Amino acid sequence: MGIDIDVARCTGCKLCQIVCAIANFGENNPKKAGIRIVSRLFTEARYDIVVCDQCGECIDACPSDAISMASGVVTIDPELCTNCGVCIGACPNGALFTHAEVDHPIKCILCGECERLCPRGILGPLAASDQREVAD
Amino acid sequence: MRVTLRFGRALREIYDHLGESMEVRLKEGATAKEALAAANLPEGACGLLLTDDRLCKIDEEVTHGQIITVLPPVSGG
Amino acid sequence: MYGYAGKILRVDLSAGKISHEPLTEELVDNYIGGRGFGAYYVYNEVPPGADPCGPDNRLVIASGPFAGVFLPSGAKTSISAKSPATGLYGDSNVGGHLAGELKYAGIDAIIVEGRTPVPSYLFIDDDRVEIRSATHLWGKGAIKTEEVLKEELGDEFQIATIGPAGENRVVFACINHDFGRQAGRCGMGAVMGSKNLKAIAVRGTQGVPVADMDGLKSVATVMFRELMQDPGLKIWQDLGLAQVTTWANSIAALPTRNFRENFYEDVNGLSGELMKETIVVGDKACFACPMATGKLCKASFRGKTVLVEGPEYETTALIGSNCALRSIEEVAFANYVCDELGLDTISAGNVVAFVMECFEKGIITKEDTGGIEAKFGSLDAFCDLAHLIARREGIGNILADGVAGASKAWGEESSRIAIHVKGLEWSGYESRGAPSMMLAYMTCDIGAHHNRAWSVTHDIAVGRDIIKGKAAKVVEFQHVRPLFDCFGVCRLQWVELGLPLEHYAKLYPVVTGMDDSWEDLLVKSERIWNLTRAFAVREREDFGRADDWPPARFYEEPVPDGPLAGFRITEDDLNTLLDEYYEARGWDENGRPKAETLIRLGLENVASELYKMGRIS
Repeated sequence: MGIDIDVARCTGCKLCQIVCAIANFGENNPKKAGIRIVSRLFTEARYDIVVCDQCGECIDACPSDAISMASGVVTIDPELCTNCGVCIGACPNGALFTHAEVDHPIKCILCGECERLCPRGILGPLAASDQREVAD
Repeated sequence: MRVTLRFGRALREIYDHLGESMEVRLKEGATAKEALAAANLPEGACGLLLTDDRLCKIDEEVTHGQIITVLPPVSGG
Repeated sequence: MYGYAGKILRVDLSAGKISHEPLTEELVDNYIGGRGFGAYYVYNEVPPGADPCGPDNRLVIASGPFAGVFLPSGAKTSISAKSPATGLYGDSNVGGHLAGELKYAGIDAIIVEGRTPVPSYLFIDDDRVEIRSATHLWGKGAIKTEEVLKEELGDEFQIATIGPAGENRVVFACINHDFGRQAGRCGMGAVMGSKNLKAIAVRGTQGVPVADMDGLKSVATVMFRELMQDPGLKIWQDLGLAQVTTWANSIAALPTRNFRENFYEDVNGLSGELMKETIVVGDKACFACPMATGKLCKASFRGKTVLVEGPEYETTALIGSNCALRSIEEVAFANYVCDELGLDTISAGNVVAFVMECFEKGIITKEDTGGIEAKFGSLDAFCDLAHLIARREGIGNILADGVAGASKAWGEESSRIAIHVKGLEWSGYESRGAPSMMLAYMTCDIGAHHNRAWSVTHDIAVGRDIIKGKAAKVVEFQHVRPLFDCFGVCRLQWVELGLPLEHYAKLYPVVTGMDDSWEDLLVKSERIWNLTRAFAVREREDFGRADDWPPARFYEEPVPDGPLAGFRITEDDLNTLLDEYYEARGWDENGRPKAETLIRLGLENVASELYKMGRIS
């Protein structure tokens, strides 16, 4: 289970993207986020929130055994990852992202930072919040 | 009766005499408009009033103990 | 250089040449960003007398140091050029997601010059920049164009477009972005159209370096927390700017029937509450903004149902009460028509209301309108006129030059009721009963717009009939508020929810690493203000006090009805306001900056240029 999302109330502000990039890469760069807000304005008057739901399908797909799940959170080991991109194709949600400066796919690790600042409070509560607090 | 007015920050910037909140004494049956006058706010100073998470009309009767949030008019960017 | 991408992108459309120039520390130090960059390049690169719709004009699309950074609503792009509406410096800003994307693509500003021989769009994907054909987009609506480009390029591209109005150089054509946000004012869309530039699409993957990341995180987090705990936030999320309509009416400031009145008897049909109940289907925010003032609405008319972002207050005031429409759904539909055609809703509402009053007074007839029954309250007439204007057909060709242009064609009686200053139509506050606001409109550098100084609450606080002593407040606002346009950040979090200015003063050093105090920044804002004024003085030998004068209606006609019935402002009052204002600014009695003022602000070269021309003493 990943982030519990009330997608209908998303306003498309993308604060979550920049918060994620700051928390995980220390950079003002929403393209280094493990979450994406996609506009569906022209046809459906809403936004999509694309983020990993920790389903784990990428684990089996990874030829390098670089992806694993612990306490409900799927993580990529950058040491083992060859950035081959197979997991990206295997992800049913399109929730693994690439960036030229990062040598492995970027994904949500349930750090909870986006949830804390989402102005609509729609990114949460996190299903794996207990584990997150232990990790903190 | 007594009514508590809470003032939005942008309003406190315009009117120096306002703190975060103010308790005003009013006669029974007084309206929100009279509450604002009791706080020395001129007509038109306030944009919207909120009470219990809903909009409160300017000519609405207020009750003892009511808390009203007073917001300034918006200024269109 | 922190807070900046460090590069200016220059696009010469005539030569098909694309180049990158380093962003200089001198430019940053003197002009900050956004509107400051716009003023600098327009003053220094647009030759005096240049045709605003000619290849010599520059279109400057500039971000600022706060844009795209982790802080509330670093979302603003300033677009500047010599304005076809005023013939003077013009700028307009737009929210959405463009400002940050420019910086992620490694550029702080784009300077567009020249004109392409064929309709084109500018494609920017990080360092890859191309001038691409837009023949398949030419003639399409502004929103449709964005939709097509998003389909072609992907949602990650941020796109600015023009509609048919921009292509046809309507002097109040806007630039559209992010479905329903516009750089509306000053005809920036016409400048873009005159360059045969249909759109700009940009995507970037680079980060914005800041001087002190820990400092930024701590200031920004406090700002976000304060905003989210503000008692007014929910109202903003619920109603957006539409909440102001009934208030403006209650204090007699709502433009009604071409500004003849300032109180609208049918205001309940236009209220924000009714809008939320009847037509709002979703909320929409600019980058990193908790307020989400954008309201997505559905509206139907003539058997057509449309989705539109808005109407916000200005649109409701100028198209709603000013054209005497009766329902917010009608206003929303008219808003859609303007957005798709690429017309600024503020000017379009003014222009149509002006036609309606001229029609009512018999200054023009159905012969002039091409058969359109241009009566107040008619959405049919609004839509028909808007289409004619955007295509410059029939009466539309006259109206495409704005109320100032049309009143030249229709004579003296019409010019009294042509509501503009310097050629730019008046925005949403009728100000006979708000002298400081009247002065703000008279002296705003781009023409009659409220964004530089909004001081209606000041008039209410100190007295609506008081004239003396009000100029200082206007000057103060004219320095503080445009700073936000330089930073590339939205002002609403400060002006509407009262987020303290101290936060922004703290943000500046942590983002840029520069040690300017707030007072230092205000001096820069004053420098920019004087530079745009200097542009006007250099441009026209006869530029001066008369250009700061409001339309005759406002001092000839007392307020006819409503809460301020009988209230008036006199020519003497207006002169007093201007005298005080010029004095406070260090300008002469004709409104020209004194050489000493320009020199005090570090504009020695400008002072010397204007002095040699005999324009200042």
